[in-house]
Amino acid sequence: MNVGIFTPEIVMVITLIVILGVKYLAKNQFTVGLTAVVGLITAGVSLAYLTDDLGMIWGHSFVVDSYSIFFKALLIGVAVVVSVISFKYVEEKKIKPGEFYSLLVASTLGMLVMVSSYSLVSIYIGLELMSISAYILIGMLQEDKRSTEAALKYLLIGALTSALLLFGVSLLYGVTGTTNLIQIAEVVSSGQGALTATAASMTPLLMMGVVFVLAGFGFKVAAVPFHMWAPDTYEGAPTSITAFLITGSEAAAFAALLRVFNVGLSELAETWSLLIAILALLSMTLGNIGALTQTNVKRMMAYSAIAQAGYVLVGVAVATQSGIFPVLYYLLAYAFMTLGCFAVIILLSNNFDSEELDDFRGLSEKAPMFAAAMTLFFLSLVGIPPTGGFLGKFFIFKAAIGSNYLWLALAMAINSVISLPYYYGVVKNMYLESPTNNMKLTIPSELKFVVGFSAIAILGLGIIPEKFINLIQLAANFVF
Amino acid sequence: MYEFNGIVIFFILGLLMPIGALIGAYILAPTKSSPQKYLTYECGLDTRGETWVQFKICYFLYALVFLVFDVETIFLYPWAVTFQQLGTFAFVEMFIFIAILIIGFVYAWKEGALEWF
Repeated sequence: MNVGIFTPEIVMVITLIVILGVKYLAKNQFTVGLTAVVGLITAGVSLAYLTDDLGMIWGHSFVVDSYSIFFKALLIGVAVVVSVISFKYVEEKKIKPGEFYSLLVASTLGMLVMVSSYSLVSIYIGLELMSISAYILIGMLQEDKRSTEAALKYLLIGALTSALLLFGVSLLYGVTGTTNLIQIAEVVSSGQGALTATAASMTPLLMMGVVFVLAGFGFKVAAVPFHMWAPDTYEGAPTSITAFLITGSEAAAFAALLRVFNVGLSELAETWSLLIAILALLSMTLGNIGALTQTNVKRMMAYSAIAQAGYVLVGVAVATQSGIFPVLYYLLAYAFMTLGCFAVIILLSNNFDSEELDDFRGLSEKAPMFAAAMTLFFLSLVGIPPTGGFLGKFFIFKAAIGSNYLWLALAMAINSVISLPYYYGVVKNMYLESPTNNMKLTIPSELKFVVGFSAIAILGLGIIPEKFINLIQLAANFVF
Repeated sequence: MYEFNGIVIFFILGLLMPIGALIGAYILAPTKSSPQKYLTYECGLDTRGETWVQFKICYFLYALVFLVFDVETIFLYPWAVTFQQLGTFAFVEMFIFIAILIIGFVYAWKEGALEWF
């Protein structure tokens, strides 16, 4: 057995134990956060050494391929950025740093397991590690009732999600006699399963399994109609954790979803692709309409995340025909835009102790670079060139048209228009309104770094996409 | 379908057991009612006041710490049974597993989960 495959995961386990130790030894809270960042970066660097020994272990249920390495790099990057933007926030809100950072690492570890899994059971284990750590992280603001409410809501919905997902998995197992995705694909295409029946009689049970698994993942990516927890949870959670959930947790869930549906169930693509297309349409429309009336920026970003999940789902719906490349490109661009936005939001919540849209008033006078960057991120979220968000949307759009989902492509275009007003509202507050108070903003240097880096990445993805496209196309192939 | 027969039998038995117990109790039990029967605990001291009171969270923490070691025991049994076939690798692995659990325990201890007051 080749333990080397696990290097990043092992590094993360060691990191989270070391963080708990550092918590008692270090005088300074900053040290704890720094330990987390160093550990995560070490895990990220170790990814570079994995490419040569691609392989599968645990009876083909854990795999290292370029697809999983792409997502691991993305997720570890997200975790590093989230730790960095939390430095000041954790101190301001009196969150226990030891628990915060070690759980953040634990949750990321769960995501890494998820994106590497080739078996329904190990996907579930990764999902649980990710979610259970997230329940606690969301409730970390102990003085804040909304945070506790958010955690409880996420816990209850999480339990329901697990139940649905496991029921779906059990149905798939019942029909095919295996939880391994490759073997499931074989059984589905040959019709020789555990129930020694014909392919035709297998279909109804398989479809039940597909629907339940889809519902389980639907909850995790907050797709309509499985989204009702998202606004409350994202609003009540600590701001950096909201960013972590919207980018990391969603990207990991999409990675697993893509793998399950495109490796294990690709034979059934005709049936599930319409289901996902409907979810995509509902998510885009309801997410954007919901965001229009929000006054709290985190709540607005929550609805925006639902809409963005809808765009990604369009890519998932057509992935079997047009390839998974557009989805990967969009998720990468989306991670940068969201983290950038949240770095600006966290700056305001550190200074004003609230996250209302009115806090953005006159930001262009107080912190011109941050206001400009926020505008750029919003342009990217709407999908206006020359940003990464535009190209991501363009690729998904093209894929949808190429697979005869013209109505879905049209819905995407219309939804981009619907989404304009609420993003514009924030930009208007920043540039055209005068500041409500004369308080000077204290801007920590790490936030400047994160915002600058995200802005450059967004522009890079939009202006010189060739380099990224080659890299992502490499990742967009499953091993089998 | 052959392999799933066991599950069907298990399911039916599982369904019949509680139903059978309830029906059996309904038929066999004498129905003599007295005020004593309506108390929460038939033996022991009578309950005073409200039963919806706060209780110490420590019970919960103790249960959690206990649960960790419960799971460890369950894990150790099959390991011990197949120990000879598994070899050195599994031996080392189990020690890593126990070490991680102990770190968790030390952490809970340090945080005061075992203090009663």
